Amino acid sequence: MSEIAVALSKEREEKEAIREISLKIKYSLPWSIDLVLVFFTPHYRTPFLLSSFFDTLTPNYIVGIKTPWIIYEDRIIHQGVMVISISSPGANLRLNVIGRDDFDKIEVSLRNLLRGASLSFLFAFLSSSINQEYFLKELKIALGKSENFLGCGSLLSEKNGDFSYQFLDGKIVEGVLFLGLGRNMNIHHKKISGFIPLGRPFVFTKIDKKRRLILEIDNRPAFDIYRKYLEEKIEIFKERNLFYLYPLGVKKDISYRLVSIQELLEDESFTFVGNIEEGMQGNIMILKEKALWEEIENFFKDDRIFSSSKLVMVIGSSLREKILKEKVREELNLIKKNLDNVPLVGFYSRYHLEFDAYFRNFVFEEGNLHLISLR
Amino acid sequence: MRIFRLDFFVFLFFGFFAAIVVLLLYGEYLRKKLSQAMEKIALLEKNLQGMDKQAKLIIKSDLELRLYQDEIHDKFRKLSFLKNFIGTSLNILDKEELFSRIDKKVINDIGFEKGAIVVYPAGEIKVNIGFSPDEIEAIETISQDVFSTSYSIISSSSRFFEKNRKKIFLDGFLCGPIISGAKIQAIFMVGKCILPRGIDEAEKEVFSIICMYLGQCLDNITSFESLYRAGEELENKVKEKTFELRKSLEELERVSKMKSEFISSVSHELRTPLTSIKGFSSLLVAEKFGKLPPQAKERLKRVDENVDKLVNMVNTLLDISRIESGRMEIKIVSSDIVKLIKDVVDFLMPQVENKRIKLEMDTPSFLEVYMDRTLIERVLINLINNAIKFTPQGGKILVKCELREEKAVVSVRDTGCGISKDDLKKIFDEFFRADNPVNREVRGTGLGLSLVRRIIDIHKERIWVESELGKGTTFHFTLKNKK
Repeated sequence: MSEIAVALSKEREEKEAIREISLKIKYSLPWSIDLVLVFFTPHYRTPFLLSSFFDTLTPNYIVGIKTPWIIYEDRIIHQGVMVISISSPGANLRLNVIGRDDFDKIEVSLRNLLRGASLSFLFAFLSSSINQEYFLKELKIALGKSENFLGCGSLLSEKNGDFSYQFLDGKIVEGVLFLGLGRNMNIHHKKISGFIPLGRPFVFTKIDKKRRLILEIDNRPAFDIYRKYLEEKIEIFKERNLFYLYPLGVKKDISYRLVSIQELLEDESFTFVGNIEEGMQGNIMILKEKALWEEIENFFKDDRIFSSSKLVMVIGSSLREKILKEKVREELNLIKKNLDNVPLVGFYSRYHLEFDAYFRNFVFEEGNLHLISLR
Repeated sequence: MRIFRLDFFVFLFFGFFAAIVVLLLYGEYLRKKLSQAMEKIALLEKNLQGMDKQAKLIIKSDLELRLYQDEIHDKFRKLSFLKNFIGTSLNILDKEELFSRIDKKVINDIGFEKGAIVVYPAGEIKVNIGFSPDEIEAIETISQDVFSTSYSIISSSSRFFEKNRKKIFLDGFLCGPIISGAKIQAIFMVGKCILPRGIDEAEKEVFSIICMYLGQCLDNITSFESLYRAGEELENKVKEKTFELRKSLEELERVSKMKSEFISSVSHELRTPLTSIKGFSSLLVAEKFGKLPPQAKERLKRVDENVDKLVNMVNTLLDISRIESGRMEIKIVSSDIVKLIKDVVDFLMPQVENKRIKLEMDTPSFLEVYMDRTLIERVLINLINNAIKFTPQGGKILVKCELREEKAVVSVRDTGCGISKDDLKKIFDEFFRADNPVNREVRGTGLGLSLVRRIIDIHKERIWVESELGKGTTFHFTLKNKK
């Protein structure tokens, strides 16, 4: 049986923020704390925050996650500190941060972390400087397949510091963080999309997987797919680099997996984030608000787990934020309304990494909203 | 055999015929099926085309909507930026501070990465955010274009400049003049547009508003500076004049004090011998030292009378100097003014009768006022004495006392020769004597009315005079009524 407490402070002064949060947490969680997750905006100093919370809350493990925005209930906080404290007697928590210099030892570190562990879920917080392809390869070797896995990519640039830290014996380790939660913690993971396919399905006819390039669609230069739908508006679309508005969708059995376009190259091919095999069918996708609101309502109707959780963590996507703009708040509002009294907390990441049973592989994806329930 | 052969051929013929029919029917069936499939494919294609058409419509409308939303959002952002910028810099009255408000945030809010303000024509760089020295030099070249295009905004997506065989490239910039007092004071330039859509009319508009606003601010600063300078000059002049005035006043006070002291000491010095002269002259006139010849007695009588006048004058002078120096002991208490008027009239009645003039009184039976009885008595004696002096035989004097707006107003009216308008202004000045036939005959010191005014002044009351040449004069003074 685990207990969870959440506290937020928008105090600009670090000391005040630490004091406020520590008091709130101690009030609602007076017994020993196993894990403290500190989410904070770049306005605060990492070592000061982590060492102070380590002293005031005395947890067994403490982890810092630096993020441009924090989600707290139905609000987006642009400056603040949020702490999630978990007290789970006998919990099998596994934690490891792989520093930037040790990125080549990901597989070994991950194997060591998982050795003898019986985990219900594994989180990975990925540094912006990590090589995605390499990480994917190492992950596959170490995990094989695991549906209970979610990785999040940092939105912060390398010079702003990685977004994940671990405080170990007074030392801050910065890099890729793995957080494994034991079987006594009930984790449930689902995502909300809101994207719908449009138009005639096409076929990805030429893909360069190594360079993550979509070269041809329906045997024509990849960019033609946008030219076809945007017609006279293609120039302004291209000029303003608005590809994020209409990502591509790779057709699975009945659903789609998003493929976001990163850059248009001179030969009219694209770099992308996602997973595509040659010969796969796809569609151009659009995020429709009406479809999204319906999906959220159905999400909570079909799955009562979330509304009976101790905490729901939401991991947003910067791409989604760019598309929805002010509607992001409406989305959070609607989720919060359905969750009722269950605390809703979260942060934003650039991309997500998860195991896709259809592809039988780990895949990167941008644009969806991931919800994790802790019970 | 023949029959068999015939039957065989007939059978073959019919068989062949039947096969052709069957094939034809099957062919027709296949054709129909194919046609149906083709129809289905065409329908599917039509549907797919419909879907594409719909997709195009949805995507294009969505994009258009988003672009409009972005534009509106951008306009709101710009308006809000302008509001904030103007709001926070409205009261700036210093050029340096004004220019310092053009910071990185302002430049980014306009939609650019770099910004500079170069003072014209001195070339001093007031603001530089991100421009290299070479680029700053290029601004000078662009500023020439600003002058040649009637001080308008220069906009360009990119431009090359060549300086000392070096190519300088400016990317997406706006350049405009900051005009104040109908002259270019500085050149404002922003470069490296960070907006996805590049520079459009909205950016130019906002940029030109900022240029105009900065010019307006410079105008305000110039006006304020000149106003401030004028104010400072005026203040200095006022200070100078005040100093001069204070010095004059001090000098005046010193002279006045000296005069009072002089009068006081002279009067004191005069009074002692005068007392002795008066004593002896009175005794001589009273023939206490023996009988005098009539001529000598007559002369001595005139000496005695003149000594009286001199004593009176010295006493008046002493009183004035006492009042001026604040040495006079004043005792303002409530007292009946009507009784005092009656006493003074009784005292002066012999003179009135001697001159055969009529003196009337118009007073209530009792009116209590705040006054120093001795001093007000002197006022009344002076005023009634003057009235007697200036009223010709058969004339009339009216002494009136009445209550007007909580003040007791005492008036002494005569039917004398009156005072001219010019003389009226100086009537209360020391040693002033109005020019009239009576004054030419009757000698006086010109101190009586001056003393009267000073006595009324120390009561913090008012005295004034009304007069008409040939008709008479009325003196009024007020005293505070005891309620």
